[in-house]
Amino acid sequence: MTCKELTERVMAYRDRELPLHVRLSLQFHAAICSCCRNLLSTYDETVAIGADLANEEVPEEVAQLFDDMLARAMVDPEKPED
Amino acid sequence: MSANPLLDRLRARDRSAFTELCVAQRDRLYGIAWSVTRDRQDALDVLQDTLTSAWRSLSTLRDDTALHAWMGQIALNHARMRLRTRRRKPVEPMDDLDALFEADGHRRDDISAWPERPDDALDRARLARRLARLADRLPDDHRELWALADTQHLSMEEIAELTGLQVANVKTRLHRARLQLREWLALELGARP
Repeated sequence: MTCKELTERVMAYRDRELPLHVRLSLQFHAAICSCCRNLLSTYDETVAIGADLANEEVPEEVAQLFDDMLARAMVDPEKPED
Repeated sequence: MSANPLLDRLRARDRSAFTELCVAQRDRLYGIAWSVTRDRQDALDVLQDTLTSAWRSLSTLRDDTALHAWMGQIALNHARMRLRTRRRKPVEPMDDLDALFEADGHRRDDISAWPERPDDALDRARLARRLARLADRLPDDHRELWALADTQHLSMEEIAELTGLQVANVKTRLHRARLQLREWLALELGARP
Protein backbone atom coordinates (compact mmCIF):
# COMPACT_ATOMS: atom_id res chain seq x y z
CA MET A 1 0.00 0.00 0.00
CA THR A 2 1.20 3.55 -0.76
CA CYS A 3 0.66 6.77 1.19
CA LYS A 4 -1.96 7.82 -1.36
CA GLU A 5 -3.88 4.57 -1.06
CA LEU A 6 -3.78 4.82 2.71
CA THR A 7 -5.02 8.42 2.58
CA GLU A 8 -7.96 7.35 0.42
CA ARG A 9 -8.86 4.61 2.90
CA VAL A 10 -8.55 6.37 6.26
CA MET A 11 -12.27 6.80 6.77
CA ALA A 12 -13.12 3.25 5.76
CA TYR A 13 -10.35 2.05 8.10
CA ARG A 14 -11.74 4.04 11.03
CA ASP A 15 -15.22 2.74 10.28
CA ARG A 16 -13.93 -0.85 10.08
CA GLU A 17 -15.23 -1.26 6.57
CA LEU A 18 -12.05 -2.60 4.98
CA PRO A 19 -11.56 -6.27 4.22
CA LEU A 20 -9.06 -7.89 6.55
CA HIS A 21 -6.22 -8.11 4.03
CA VAL A 22 -6.54 -4.40 3.17
CA ARG A 23 -6.74 -3.52 6.85
CA LEU A 24 -3.57 -5.46 7.56
CA SER A 25 -1.84 -3.92 4.58
CA LEU A 26 -2.77 -0.45 5.82
CA GLN A 27 -1.54 -1.23 9.32
CA PHE A 28 1.73 -2.55 7.94
CA HIS A 29 2.24 0.62 5.89
CA ALA A 30 1.45 2.81 8.91
CA ALA A 31 3.94 0.83 11.00
CA ILE A 32 6.78 1.76 8.67
CA CYS A 33 5.64 5.26 7.61
CA SER A 34 5.60 7.98 10.28
CA CYS A 35 3.92 10.35 7.87
CA CYS A 36 0.89 8.06 7.56
CA ARG A 37 0.86 7.30 11.29
CA ASN A 38 0.59 11.03 11.87
CA LEU A 39 -2.10 11.29 9.21
CA LEU A 40 -4.15 8.64 11.02
CA SER A 41 -3.79 10.32 14.40
CA THR A 42 -4.46 13.85 13.15
CA TYR A 43 -7.45 12.68 11.10
CA ASP A 44 -8.86 11.21 14.32
CA GLU A 45 -8.11 14.49 16.11
CA THR A 46 -9.96 16.46 13.44
CA VAL A 47 -13.04 14.29 13.90
CA ALA A 48 -12.78 14.53 17.70
CA ILE A 49 -12.49 18.32 17.64
CA GLY A 50 -15.59 18.49 15.44
CA ALA A 51 -17.44 16.37 17.99
CA ASP A 52 -16.73 19.03 20.62
CA LEU A 53 -18.92 21.41 18.60
CA ALA A 54 -21.93 19.23 19.29
CA ASN A 55 -21.81 20.27 22.92
CA GLU A 56 -22.64 23.87 22.03
CA GLU A 57 -26.05 23.10 20.57
CA VAL A 58 -29.66 23.28 21.77
CA PRO A 59 -29.80 26.32 23.97
CA GLU A 60 -32.40 26.58 26.73
CA GLU A 61 -34.36 29.11 24.72
CA VAL A 62 -35.29 26.45 22.15
CA ALA A 63 -37.32 24.63 24.78
CA GLN A 64 -38.73 27.90 26.10
CA LEU A 65 -39.77 29.17 22.67
CA PHE A 66 -40.96 25.89 21.26
CA ASP A 67 -44.59 26.08 22.40
CA ASP A 68 -44.95 29.52 20.82
CA MET A 69 -43.29 28.30 17.65
CA LEU A 70 -45.72 25.42 17.44
CA ALA A 71 -48.69 27.70 18.02
CA ARG A 72 -47.49 30.02 15.24
CA ALA A 73 -46.97 27.07 12.92
CA MET A 74 -50.37 25.50 13.41
CA VAL A 75 -52.33 28.18 11.64
CA ASP A 76 -54.37 26.76 8.80
CA PRO A 77 -53.80 28.74 5.61
CA GLU A 78 -57.44 28.49 4.67
CA LYS A 79 -58.45 29.81 8.08
CA PRO A 80 -56.15 32.79 8.66
CA GLU A 81 -56.22 34.39 12.06
CA ASP A 82 -57.87 37.79 12.34
CA MET B 1 -56.20 3.87 7.47
CA SER B 2 -52.45 3.38 7.38
CA ALA B 3 -50.37 1.03 9.49
CA ASN B 4 -49.10 4.04 11.39
CA PRO B 5 -51.86 5.64 13.49
CA LEU B 6 -49.76 8.78 13.97
CA LEU B 7 -49.74 9.30 10.19
CA ASP B 8 -53.53 9.12 10.07
CA ARG B 9 -53.84 11.65 12.88
CA LEU B 10 -51.35 13.96 11.18
CA ARG B 11 -53.19 13.81 7.87
CA ALA B 12 -56.35 14.71 9.79
CA ARG B 13 -54.43 17.76 11.05
CA ASP B 14 -54.64 16.61 14.64
CA ARG B 15 -52.82 19.27 16.65
CA SER B 16 -51.81 16.96 19.46
CA ALA B 17 -50.32 14.49 16.96
CA PHE B 18 -48.35 17.27 15.29
CA THR B 19 -47.18 18.54 18.66
CA GLU B 20 -46.13 15.01 19.63
CA LEU B 21 -44.14 14.62 16.42
CA CYS B 22 -42.46 18.01 16.70
CA VAL B 23 -41.57 17.73 20.37
CA ALA B 24 -39.91 14.37 19.69
CA GLN B 25 -37.92 15.92 16.83
CA ARG B 26 -37.18 19.28 18.44
CA ASP B 27 -33.52 18.88 19.35
CA ARG B 28 -32.68 16.99 16.18
CA LEU B 29 -34.28 19.63 13.97
CA TYR B 30 -32.54 22.41 15.85
CA GLY B 31 -29.27 20.48 15.54
CA ILE B 32 -29.65 20.22 11.77
CA ALA B 33 -30.51 23.91 11.50
CA TRP B 34 -27.71 25.01 13.79
CA SER B 35 -25.05 22.81 12.22
CA VAL B 36 -25.79 24.17 8.75
CA THR B 37 -26.30 27.84 9.63
CA ARG B 38 -23.98 27.97 12.66
CA ASP B 39 -25.98 30.88 13.96
CA ARG B 40 -28.37 30.63 16.88
CA GLN B 41 -30.94 33.13 15.60
CA ASP B 42 -30.86 31.66 12.10
CA ALA B 43 -31.32 28.19 13.57
CA LEU B 44 -34.34 29.36 15.57
CA ASP B 45 -35.82 30.96 12.45
CA VAL B 46 -35.19 27.75 10.51
CA LEU B 47 -36.92 25.78 13.24
CA GLN B 48 -39.96 28.05 13.04
CA ASP B 49 -40.03 27.83 9.23
CA THR B 50 -39.71 24.04 9.45
CA LEU B 51 -42.68 23.69 11.78
CA THR B 52 -44.77 26.03 9.65
CA SER B 53 -43.90 24.22 6.40
CA ALA B 54 -44.49 20.82 7.97
CA TRP B 55 -47.94 21.82 9.26
CA ARG B 56 -48.87 23.15 5.83
CA SER B 57 -47.63 19.99 4.10
CA LEU B 58 -49.39 17.40 6.23
CA SER B 59 -51.72 16.50 3.39
CA THR B 60 -48.73 15.36 1.31
CA LEU B 61 -47.83 12.60 3.78
CA ARG B 62 -47.99 9.15 2.26
CA ASP B 63 -48.35 5.79 3.97
CA ASP B 64 -44.64 5.13 3.45
CA THR B 65 -43.39 8.54 4.57
CA ALA B 66 -40.65 8.22 7.16
CA LEU B 67 -41.68 11.06 9.42
CA HIS B 68 -38.34 11.91 10.93
CA ALA B 69 -36.64 11.96 7.52
CA TRP B 70 -39.48 14.07 6.14
CA MET B 71 -39.10 16.68 8.87
CA GLY B 72 -35.32 16.59 8.64
CA GLN B 73 -35.46 17.28 4.90
CA ILE B 74 -37.73 20.27 5.49
CA ALA B 75 -35.30 21.61 8.11
CA LEU B 76 -32.29 21.07 5.87
CA ASN B 77 -33.94 22.85 2.95
CA HIS B 78 -34.83 25.85 5.11
CA ALA B 79 -31.32 25.92 6.57
CA ARG B 80 -29.82 25.89 3.07
CA MET B 81 -32.09 28.75 2.01
CA ARG B 82 -31.15 30.73 5.10
CA LEU B 83 -27.47 30.19 4.41
CA ARG B 84 -27.86 31.37 0.83
CA THR B 85 -29.36 34.66 1.95
CA ARG B 86 -26.49 35.27 4.35
CA ARG B 87 -23.13 36.44 3.18
CA ARG B 88 -20.58 33.77 4.02
CA LYS B 89 -16.84 33.88 3.98
CA PRO B 90 -15.50 33.16 0.52
CA VAL B 91 -15.16 29.47 -0.19
CA GLU B 92 -11.61 28.34 -0.83
CA PRO B 93 -10.69 25.76 -3.42
CA MET B 94 -9.93 22.41 -1.87
CA ASP B 95 -6.46 21.00 -2.30
CA ASP B 96 -5.81 18.78 -5.27
CA LEU B 97 -5.18 15.51 -3.44
CA ASP B 98 -3.16 14.09 -6.32
CA ALA B 99 -0.70 16.96 -6.01
CA LEU B 100 0.19 15.84 -2.47
CA PHE B 101 1.72 12.61 -3.76
CA GLU B 102 4.60 11.53 -5.96
CA ALA B 103 3.84 9.46 -9.03
CA ASP B 104 4.58 6.30 -7.03
CA GLY B 105 1.92 7.21 -4.46
CA HIS B 106 4.23 8.32 -1.67
CA ARG B 107 3.54 11.58 0.07
CA ARG B 108 5.67 14.52 -1.12
CA ASP B 109 5.86 16.28 2.26
CA ASP B 110 6.02 15.03 5.82
CA ILE B 111 3.06 15.15 8.15
CA SER B 112 3.90 15.99 11.73
CA ALA B 113 2.03 14.99 14.86
CA TRP B 114 -0.07 17.67 16.57
CA PRO B 115 0.28 18.94 20.09
CA GLU B 116 -1.95 17.08 22.56
CA ARG B 117 -5.53 18.28 22.62
CA PRO B 118 -6.14 20.54 25.63
CA ASP B 119 -7.87 19.04 28.68
CA ASP B 120 -9.45 22.32 29.64
CA ALA B 121 -13.03 22.59 28.35
CA LEU B 122 -12.67 26.26 27.39
CA ASP B 123 -9.52 25.60 25.37
CA ARG B 124 -11.20 22.68 23.68
CA ALA B 125 -14.21 24.81 22.82
CA ARG B 126 -11.86 27.45 21.39
CA LEU B 127 -10.16 24.84 19.24
CA ALA B 128 -13.53 23.53 18.07
CA ARG B 129 -14.58 27.05 17.05
CA ARG B 130 -11.37 27.40 15.04
CA LEU B 131 -12.32 24.23 13.22
CA ALA B 132 -15.82 25.57 12.60
CA ARG B 133 -14.35 28.75 11.11
CA LEU B 134 -12.16 26.66 8.83
CA ALA B 135 -15.20 24.62 7.82
CA ASP B 136 -16.81 27.85 6.58
CA ARG B 137 -14.17 27.84 3.86
CA LEU B 138 -15.35 24.49 2.51
CA PRO B 139 -17.76 24.32 -0.42
CA ASP B 140 -21.34 24.27 0.91
CA ASP B 141 -22.05 20.64 0.07
CA HIS B 142 -18.89 19.39 1.79
CA ARG B 143 -19.38 21.65 4.78
CA GLU B 144 -22.97 20.49 5.19
CA LEU B 145 -22.01 16.82 5.20
CA TRP B 146 -19.19 17.45 7.66
CA ALA B 147 -21.54 19.38 9.96
CA LEU B 148 -24.23 16.72 9.91
CA ALA B 149 -21.79 13.85 10.41
CA ASP B 150 -19.13 15.21 12.73
CA THR B 151 -21.02 17.76 14.79
CA GLN B 152 -24.50 16.17 14.80
CA HIS B 153 -23.36 12.55 14.64
CA LEU B 154 -25.95 11.58 12.07
CA SER B 155 -25.27 8.22 10.45
CA MET B 156 -24.23 8.01 6.81
CA GLU B 157 -27.64 6.49 6.04
CA GLU B 158 -29.50 9.33 7.79
CA ILE B 159 -27.45 11.92 5.91
CA ALA B 160 -28.08 10.14 2.63
CA GLU B 161 -31.80 10.17 3.41
CA LEU B 162 -31.73 13.89 4.22
CA THR B 163 -29.64 14.99 1.27
CA GLY B 164 -30.81 12.57 -1.39
CA LEU B 165 -27.21 11.47 -2.02
CA GLN B 166 -26.06 7.88 -2.25
CA VAL B 167 -24.37 6.65 0.94
CA ALA B 168 -21.14 6.10 -1.02
CA ASN B 169 -21.19 9.73 -2.17
CA VAL B 170 -21.80 10.95 1.36
CA LYS B 171 -18.78 8.99 2.56
CA THR B 172 -16.54 10.18 -0.27
CA ARG B 173 -17.37 13.85 0.26
CA LEU B 174 -17.21 13.63 4.04
CA HIS B 175 -13.78 12.01 3.85
CA ARG B 176 -12.62 14.73 1.44
CA ALA B 177 -13.95 17.44 3.80
CA ARG B 178 -12.18 15.90 6.79
CA LEU B 179 -8.91 15.61 4.90
CA GLN B 180 -9.12 19.25 3.88
CA LEU B 181 -10.00 20.41 7.39
CA ARG B 182 -7.11 18.37 8.74
CA GLU B 183 -4.71 20.09 6.35
CA TRP B 184 -5.99 23.57 7.18
CA LEU B 185 -6.03 22.88 10.90
CA ALA B 186 -2.47 21.57 10.76
CA LEU B 187 -1.39 24.85 9.19
CA GLU B 188 -3.22 26.81 11.88
CA LEU B 189 -1.58 24.76 14.61
CA GLY B 190 1.82 25.39 13.06
CA ALA B 191 2.33 21.72 12.27
CA ARG B 192 3.52 20.36 8.96
CA PRO B 193 0.29 19.52 7.10
